Amino acid sequence: MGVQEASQNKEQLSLERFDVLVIGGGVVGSAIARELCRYRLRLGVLEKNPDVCMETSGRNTGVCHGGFAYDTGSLKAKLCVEGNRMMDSLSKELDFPFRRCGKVLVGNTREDYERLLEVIAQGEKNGASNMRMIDEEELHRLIPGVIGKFAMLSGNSGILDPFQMTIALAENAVQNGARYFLEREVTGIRQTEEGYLVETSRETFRTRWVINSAGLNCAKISEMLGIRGHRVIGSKDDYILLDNRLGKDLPMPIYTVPSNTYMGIHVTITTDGNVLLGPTAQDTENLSWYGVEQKNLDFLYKAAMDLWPNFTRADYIRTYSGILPKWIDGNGKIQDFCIEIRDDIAPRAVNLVGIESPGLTASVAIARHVIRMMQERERFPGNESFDPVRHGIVRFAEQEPQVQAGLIEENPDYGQLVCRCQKVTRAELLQAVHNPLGVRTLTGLKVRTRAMMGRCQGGYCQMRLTQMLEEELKIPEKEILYSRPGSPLFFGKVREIADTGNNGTEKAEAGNAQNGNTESERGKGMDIGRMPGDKRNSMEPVPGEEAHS
Amino acid sequence: MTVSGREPCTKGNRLQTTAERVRTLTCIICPNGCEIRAENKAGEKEAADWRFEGALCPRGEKYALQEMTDPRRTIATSAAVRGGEEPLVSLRLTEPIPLGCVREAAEEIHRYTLIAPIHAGDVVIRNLLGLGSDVIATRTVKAAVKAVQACTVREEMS
Amino acid sequence: MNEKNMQNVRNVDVLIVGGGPAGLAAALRLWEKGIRNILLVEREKRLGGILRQCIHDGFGLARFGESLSGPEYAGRFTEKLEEYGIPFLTDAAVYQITPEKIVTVVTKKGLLTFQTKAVILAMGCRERTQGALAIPGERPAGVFTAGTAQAYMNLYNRMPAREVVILGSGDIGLIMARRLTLEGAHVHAVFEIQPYPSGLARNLQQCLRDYGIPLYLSHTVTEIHGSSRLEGVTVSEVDEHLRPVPGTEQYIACDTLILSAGLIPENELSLEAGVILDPRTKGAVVDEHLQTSVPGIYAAGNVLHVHDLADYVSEEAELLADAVVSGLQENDAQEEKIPIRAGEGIHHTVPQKTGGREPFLLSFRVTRPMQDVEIVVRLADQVLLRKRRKRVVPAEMLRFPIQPFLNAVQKSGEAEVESPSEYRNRAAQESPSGYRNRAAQESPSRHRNRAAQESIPENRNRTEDGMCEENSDRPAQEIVVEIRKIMPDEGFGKEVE
Repeated sequence: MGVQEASQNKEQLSLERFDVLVIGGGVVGSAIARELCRYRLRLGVLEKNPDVCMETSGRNTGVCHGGFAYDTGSLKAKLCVEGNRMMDSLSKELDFPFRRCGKVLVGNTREDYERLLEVIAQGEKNGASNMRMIDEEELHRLIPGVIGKFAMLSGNSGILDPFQMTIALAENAVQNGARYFLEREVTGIRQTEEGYLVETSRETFRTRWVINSAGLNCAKISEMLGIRGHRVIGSKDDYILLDNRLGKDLPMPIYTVPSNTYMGIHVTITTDGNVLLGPTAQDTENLSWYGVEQKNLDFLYKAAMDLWPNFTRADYIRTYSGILPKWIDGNGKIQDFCIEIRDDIAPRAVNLVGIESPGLTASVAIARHVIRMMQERERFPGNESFDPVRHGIVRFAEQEPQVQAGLIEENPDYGQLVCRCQKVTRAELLQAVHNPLGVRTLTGLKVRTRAMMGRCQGGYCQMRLTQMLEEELKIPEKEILYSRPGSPLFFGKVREIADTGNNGTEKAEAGNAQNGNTESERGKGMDIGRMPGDKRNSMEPVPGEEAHS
Repeated sequence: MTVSGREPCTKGNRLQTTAERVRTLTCIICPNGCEIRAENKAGEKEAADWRFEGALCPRGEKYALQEMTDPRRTIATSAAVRGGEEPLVSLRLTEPIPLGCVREAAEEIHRYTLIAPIHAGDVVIRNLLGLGSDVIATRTVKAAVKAVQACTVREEMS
Repeated sequence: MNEKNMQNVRNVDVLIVGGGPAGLAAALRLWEKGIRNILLVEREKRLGGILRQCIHDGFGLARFGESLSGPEYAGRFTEKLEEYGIPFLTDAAVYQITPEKIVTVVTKKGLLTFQTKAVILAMGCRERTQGALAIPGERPAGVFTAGTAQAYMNLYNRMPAREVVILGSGDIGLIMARRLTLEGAHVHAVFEIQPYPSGLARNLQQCLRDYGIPLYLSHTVTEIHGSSRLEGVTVSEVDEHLRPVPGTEQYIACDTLILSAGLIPENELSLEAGVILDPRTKGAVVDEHLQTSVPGIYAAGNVLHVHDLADYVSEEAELLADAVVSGLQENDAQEEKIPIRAGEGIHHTVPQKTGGREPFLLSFRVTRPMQDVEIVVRLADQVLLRKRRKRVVPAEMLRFPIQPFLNAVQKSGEAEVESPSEYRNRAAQESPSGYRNRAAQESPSRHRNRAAQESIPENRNRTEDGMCEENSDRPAQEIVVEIRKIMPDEGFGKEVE
């Protein structure tokens, strides 16, 4: 159930009829799929990457927003508040990390103060609660290392793990009968009498309903549906992730006073205890380039030093980048979420455009909103066997010693530590390898177990992880992918182990003149290429290097 | 005679340099690391034609001369193992060979698949390419027992 | 801990964390000195640590008088270990060390808990990563640290590269340049951010020049390109502050970037045990017995400070083992230690403090290459060591035995200078062959590491942990290690090695 659909015959798939196809396996697409499982529907999710959560959903600050930062009456405000309220029960149901730790918006000037009062007022109108101004003393009691004169404390805000959340939603959907089709990029959509033909890089799918939850590709899919004219730009966010030794010094995220266009640089804590600096937030038309820029790294360092200077350059673990899709009007002004069904142009197609922040917080609320809109047009029969509970991988490192001992007794693979710095055991990795979505990449293992996320970034354990993927899933070494399609790790083996006698190997007898006292065989071999005495390559040494041949 | 019937590698004696007759090298004999300037006006490989400057002791000049006329190296690489607990065994030469022969030496070693068990110190190839160096295993690789056990079980059951 | 756990606690006199060159040497020495209740714990399936993947030769010349590969060097120890029947665990990971020296080990058979009298930390190092370097650009597959590539190739039989660029001229990167070439990859170039190479002369010759691989000094990688697999890198020249010079960018198409930009002692467990680290070495602060700030917890090898030579790692571990034996037998209170300060030009010292009543080995590195220098170690006006060297580089650790000085002060007030026999002994350590084989091994430059990080001017005066370099509070007594250039008119003298 729900295993990688690659094995399924192309022919077979094209004969199937889906009730609903969700385009996009990010947090919103997966939330929609999971919520749709409450109804009896033939449900499929098309995801272009080899795993879920690889685009915007996996490249953000991981904050559960309070709902005060959005215009009153907007979908952003309404759905954020709704999403925020449900996060405790949702995170328990789905077994993903969430901490309602609160958040501060720090200010220093008179204008900041006024603005924060406005924010509180807006928040209250939006239905957000538990916000108040705190003075310098209280601020520093809460967060000793922060620089600021006062702040607005949003007690309802929190932090969550966006990967675990998206994966949990997807796995719960699959558990309840949804089917995920990975590495299917939608290339075209055609309307038919009963619905749509959705063409992908592999098969063509037939469906009655289509949901455009394609994030950065929302405008592209929207156009394919015939709904033209949505202008979407990107907001590119660069981040620096810091060592989790700092986590104990930062109890909650620190934001600066927001404006309408930009949230300011944040110093956030993650559910794993890492500190996150960012984002930088620059407008961009390029919705696919995730390179981190030096000037942004310099800016983040300086800006963070002005807010929470309790780290050094030596604490950098890694950098990354994300892009938020923002729906803008003709004047470039950022709009609300666009969640529409254009019955005239594309009936039974839900079009989501510009789902940026607070999309993560609001994801399940968005899903329920989408389903309400769908139900206004078609009543779906309920699914009595819907199980909202999903269990993730039991993490050895989070258990008490007695529980740890019990885990090992039951399953000795819990007694083999593979990733030392994150204390991840073989048992957890095996579960991650055999995950319900059929993901087979190295980063797929990483996000499911935390392996490779520590200071050594997989320097010690990645060899064992790739070996597990090869052995457990019988993937040839050249096909082991790091993360994205076309990201192989290896070019082959160093030595091919020749089969006995088949391919031109000569049996080299032990004890003969050329050989020693070990049994061996000698094959055809391969040329190495460039070697001593060969002509140098074309790059000339710069002055300062010793002259040589 | 070599296994393949090819001539042993004889490229060792030609000069490393392509154009230059003046070279600077850092001596590695002792921590002083003298920078030795070596010049050969005649352009031949004859020992008498080399002149050295900068060496604080005669060992340095001896090293420099060796490097200029007949640079030699030991190499280490790995070979495939069949039937072992590990897929590779690390190997190295026992004697330095001419630098110009390193490529062929490596290619030759890479042709071999060794059969487990292999013990560290085993000579796996004697007198590689006739260059006067053996190739020895530097690691012990035991024979994998799994396959054998499976056979035994099957035999018992049949 | 509940009662059930208490019942399962075993008593072990000395637990050694790590079965690499340090751990193995310590175990053997302890056993040879009669300590029997010891346990060596190794997380891999086999003993040997990092030596297992270092298949090149050059190990053991100082110690055994032979040029061995890493696995063979390890074999010399593991053979004895097995012969003596020294207890060890493999496939067992130390999970936690408490300040009370209770050690938890995770094994397939369950959680093992040990109450120990002494713990020897011998966990080695990790490598500086792409993320830690914060190289701008994308994060595709194909960026590997040198040690990871080495493990893939030499242990796991996986070829990760075809067209290669190497960042960092440390010895691991140089060794990998040769290894990759011997396996058919094309190494385009090695780029080094400093104006001098980090690796040793022998490797520059035998890993780069032999294969026609150019080395570009004062260069670094300023951008990584490729969204799935690496497609290329941009390299730039850097100025004297190690900042990229605009306009000097060059693009090199390649599918692999090997990072050899520094080793960092792996002290996760140590931190959890309450061990205080020296931000300069990233290893523990130790006294002359190599005992850390936690009584009974000791450290040796790369986990204490990054070494160049496995032979010296083993020696350091043996000195540590001797100290542990004394510690177990005498159990005396911690005496007052005199701090050792690294003067200008000296990056750090190990140990960072000493009692002064016993001879000890002082190890240190310089911050930059220097020529014709004199090294002086003194306690106020008393000179403990005076040595001259023609050439010192950060890549080569300097090590000198220091004689006891406290009794000397009390009795005669005269400085003890190294006696001729001490000198000879030391010279024997620094034998020509010893030096030669050092070249083949890892040789990180921590100075270079720190400099490479200091791309933000404001950060330049901060040490790694954020504390300012300048410390105006000098303790009443301190030993200073100084280095100065010998003036031309002074003459060098005959102390040439």
